[in-house]
Amino acid sequence: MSKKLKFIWIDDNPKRKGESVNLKNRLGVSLEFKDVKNNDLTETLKDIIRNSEPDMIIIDHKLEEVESGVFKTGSSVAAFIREKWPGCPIVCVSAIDKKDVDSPQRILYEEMFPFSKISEFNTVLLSIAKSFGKLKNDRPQRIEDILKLLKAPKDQYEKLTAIMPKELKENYDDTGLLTEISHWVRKILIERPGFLYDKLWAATLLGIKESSFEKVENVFKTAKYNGLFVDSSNDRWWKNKLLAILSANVSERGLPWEKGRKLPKITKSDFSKCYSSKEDYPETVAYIDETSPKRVAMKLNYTVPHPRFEDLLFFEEIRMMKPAE
Amino acid sequence: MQYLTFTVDSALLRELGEKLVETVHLALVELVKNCYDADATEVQILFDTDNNGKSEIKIIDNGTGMSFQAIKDYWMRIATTNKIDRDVSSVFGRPLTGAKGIGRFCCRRLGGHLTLITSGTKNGRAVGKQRDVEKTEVEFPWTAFEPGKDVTSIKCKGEKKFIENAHTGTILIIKDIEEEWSTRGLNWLKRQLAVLAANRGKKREGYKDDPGFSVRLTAPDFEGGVRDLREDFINAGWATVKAYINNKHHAVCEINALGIGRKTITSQSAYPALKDISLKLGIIVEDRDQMRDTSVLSLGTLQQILPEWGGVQVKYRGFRVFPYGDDDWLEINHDRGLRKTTPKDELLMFAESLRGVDASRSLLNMLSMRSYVGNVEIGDDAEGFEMKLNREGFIASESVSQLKDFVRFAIDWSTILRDYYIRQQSQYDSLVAKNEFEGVISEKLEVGRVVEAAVDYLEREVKTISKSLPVEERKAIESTFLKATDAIRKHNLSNRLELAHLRVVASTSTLLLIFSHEVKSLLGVLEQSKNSLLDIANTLSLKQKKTVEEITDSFSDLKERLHELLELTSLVGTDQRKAKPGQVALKDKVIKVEKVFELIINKYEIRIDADGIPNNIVIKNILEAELYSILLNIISNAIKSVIAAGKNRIIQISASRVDGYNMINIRDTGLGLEPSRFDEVFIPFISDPEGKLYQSLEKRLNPEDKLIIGSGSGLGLGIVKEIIDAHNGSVRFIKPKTGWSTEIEIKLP
Repeated sequence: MSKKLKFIWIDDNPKRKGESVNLKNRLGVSLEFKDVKNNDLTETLKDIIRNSEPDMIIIDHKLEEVESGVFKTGSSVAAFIREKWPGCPIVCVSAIDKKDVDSPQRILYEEMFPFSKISEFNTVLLSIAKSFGKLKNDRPQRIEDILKLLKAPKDQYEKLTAIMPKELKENYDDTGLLTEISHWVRKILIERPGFLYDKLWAATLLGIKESSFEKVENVFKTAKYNGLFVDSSNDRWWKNKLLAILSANVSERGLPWEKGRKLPKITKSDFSKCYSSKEDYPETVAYIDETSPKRVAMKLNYTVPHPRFEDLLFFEEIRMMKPAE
Repeated sequence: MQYLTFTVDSALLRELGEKLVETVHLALVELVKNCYDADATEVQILFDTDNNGKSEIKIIDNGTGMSFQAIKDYWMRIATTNKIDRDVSSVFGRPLTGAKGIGRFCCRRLGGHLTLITSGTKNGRAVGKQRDVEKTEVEFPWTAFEPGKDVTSIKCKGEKKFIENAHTGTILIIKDIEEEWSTRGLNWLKRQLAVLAANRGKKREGYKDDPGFSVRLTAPDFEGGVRDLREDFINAGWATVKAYINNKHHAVCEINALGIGRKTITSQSAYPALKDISLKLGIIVEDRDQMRDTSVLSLGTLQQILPEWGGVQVKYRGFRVFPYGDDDWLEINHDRGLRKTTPKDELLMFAESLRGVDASRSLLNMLSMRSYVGNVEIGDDAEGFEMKLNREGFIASESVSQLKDFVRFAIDWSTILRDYYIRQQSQYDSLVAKNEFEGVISEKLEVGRVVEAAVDYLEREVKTISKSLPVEERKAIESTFLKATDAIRKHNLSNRLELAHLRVVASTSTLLLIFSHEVKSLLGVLEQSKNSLLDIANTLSLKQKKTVEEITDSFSDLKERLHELLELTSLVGTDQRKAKPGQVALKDKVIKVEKVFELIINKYEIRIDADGIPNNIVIKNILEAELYSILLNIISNAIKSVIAAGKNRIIQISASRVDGYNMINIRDTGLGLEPSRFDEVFIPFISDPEGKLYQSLEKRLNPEDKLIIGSGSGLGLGIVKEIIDAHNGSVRFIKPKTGWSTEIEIKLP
């Protein structure tokens, strides 16, 4: 078994040391808490960068209790640390809302989590730390290296190459490469349905309810995404593999949502219905409106494009419910 | 066999020019965008007359220029462009602004003859003084491209030279100007160019630091003559502020603002570490009435400029220092966020000296950091400014911190004056009316008594006039008049009560924000305690562990509920995303509101039945907060009413589409309402016309729950009606269906 991952937590609220111990125990990592209320921040930072690079740095956004004139926010500290360790993931854990932080500051963090929900992010934190470790050990030199780390199916190489941003295709010596990869993989490839499907999309593709997907999950286990930044509490499946396995298991011809219902153990009560019209065979997933995060299965013609999402080539269009006529 | 080929008639050039570029103004803007895209830092536009008295337009920039080959391969080959394969400029990484491949048609659109003189390096990726520069000059006699002639048959004279150590750039000279330029067109042009000229420098990863882009417009025939558009832009907003440090190290500030005029102040406190420092900034407000020059600024262009280029930047010996100006280094947004409204020390005294200004709240009108557009210049003689090694800002020093204080002094001072200005404006109209009225009754009045006095005055006047009338008529007039004045007095009284109440409500929203901030940190404590408990649980016996886990589960439930409630309070916050109206699905929001009242609903065994709302009922073009407000008010009324009535407590909500509208019906088994009261309940403070609701509630409600559903502000249904009316909908009480006591019907698009 490899060595324990090393985390550092920088905070101006000494009370959070308690939570840092909890986190250390939950994740099974080594974690050092740097209290910068009672210690000088600049000195602490100098001390940190004199030592070996950690696998993750956790930092508070507002460093109000700190006397340093230079660093007022965690993002400015992040910028400082990135100078020395461009491939060190820096995660912000704060009481303030993500949306209240300006985007130029937000982008300096790998991710922002609310302190009051930190226990919900165990797997994400580990996934980020481990994946950065992989990237640093085995730094991509070519686009194929990235595709291999993603464990992408071969037949998807061409399409993936076509849509990858140019930062991932050239200048492999660029200091920002690893964070660019992280952002694209986590925020686009994994987040947007297209190449990868989450449980709701996968179930909808198979014509069944999200809650019924676990009945057939085992059939599709080889389709499960297990590449870079895989998060065990937020599964994804390769869409093309789902379809291939479906064809191998159901010989009847038909659309995926017709064939999916012929899988073993699936009964009529598992069938999905359109949220809006109650009709059978909803083909897409859509948000219920512009304000809610709630997504449901729907028939395409009861949906319209969601105005707050841009279209991306090869990804599914993000849609929302069409108001009743 | 014979082969045929296409040829192109010259008429196509003109045709394309007119189709692609609708007006001459648009053509000129496109050409300036090309200069921007070619990484120029300066462009001059000259409306000139040549030796023969004919108009010509010159566009001179210091961008990358083009090589002879590039002109041949791209510029002169119609339907090609070298912009397609990249989306940022090569030197500074600017996002490209120009439309693809229409530059040549713009030249054609502007005039009959074009001379193109351009100097560039071979690869076209360098600006400024370069060792090997290729200078190309080509003449385009557009008029020779007559209909009937093939495009390829017309020759354009061109030559190239190699020069050493020359500057890159492009000059376009357009002659035979075909269209008249109007002042209106020129103003439109200025507004468009202001967007480009707003680029005051930026750093983009992987590219050279962009020093910014300035546009000089010289049009001698038009008002104003020579214009520096960036200067115009700064001076067009609500105010221009200039400040410097004098030889005694005090700050000297000058403001020139709309409605205030020119004012100056010298600070009492000194900034001993500062010298050779000056500041110039524009204060730009997104409101047409607060602009000094609408020919340069329009709301549309502002929305593009401010988020991208607003902010107070720092220039050190002529060069911009990053990231000051992109970040909140002056802590303006920070202070706004914390609602810091009281100025410090001497500025507090200054605020107190202004009539009508509430000194302790005089910074309430502080704008976002992006609304202050300008630079602070640090000159050669300044000391104590040392750049960090990574060139990201200065190393902290006394000078740096005093610099911040100095700039904030100027900004805070201008903010106090803005508060003064805003108060003056809002009081202006009522003051005029009051003064006129004072003239009539020749006595001084308190503001609150104006209506009273006016009615008294009218009463006296009417009595005097009616004395000359026959008794019968006099009595009739006096009686009608009495009714009218009575109505006015009552209405005035209720308005004042409503206003007083709204003041209280307004202050609670601030309280709510502070409260939600506090709750957020408490949630953190809750999370930490829960995680610590779980950590301990791992060391316990199985049975004990289960007990501890049950406790933490209830912690989690509590936390989830608090999170949901907090989400509702964020609706009154500053989240931009929530401040935009959009589509909102009804059923989901009804379920959320139900959760808000969960405790009360369970305690008093109330059933809320929302099954009658189809999933696809969606209200269009409404704010989430508005829909919540409607539902919260109506459902809380219904809850009070069913508790007071004390029988089977059911509230039913259903919805349907009728004639292109969403009809929402809310029924309850509460106290019911007399049909004669159906209209008046929407008038503020008549929430319980028959007085029976609160009497019954007193009896049945536990005292501690009174706080939760409120004792009735008297404004609830009034607010509901205001919101629904504003969306061209309607709300009314209707005769309830059998089995129900009350029914409200809402119609919304």
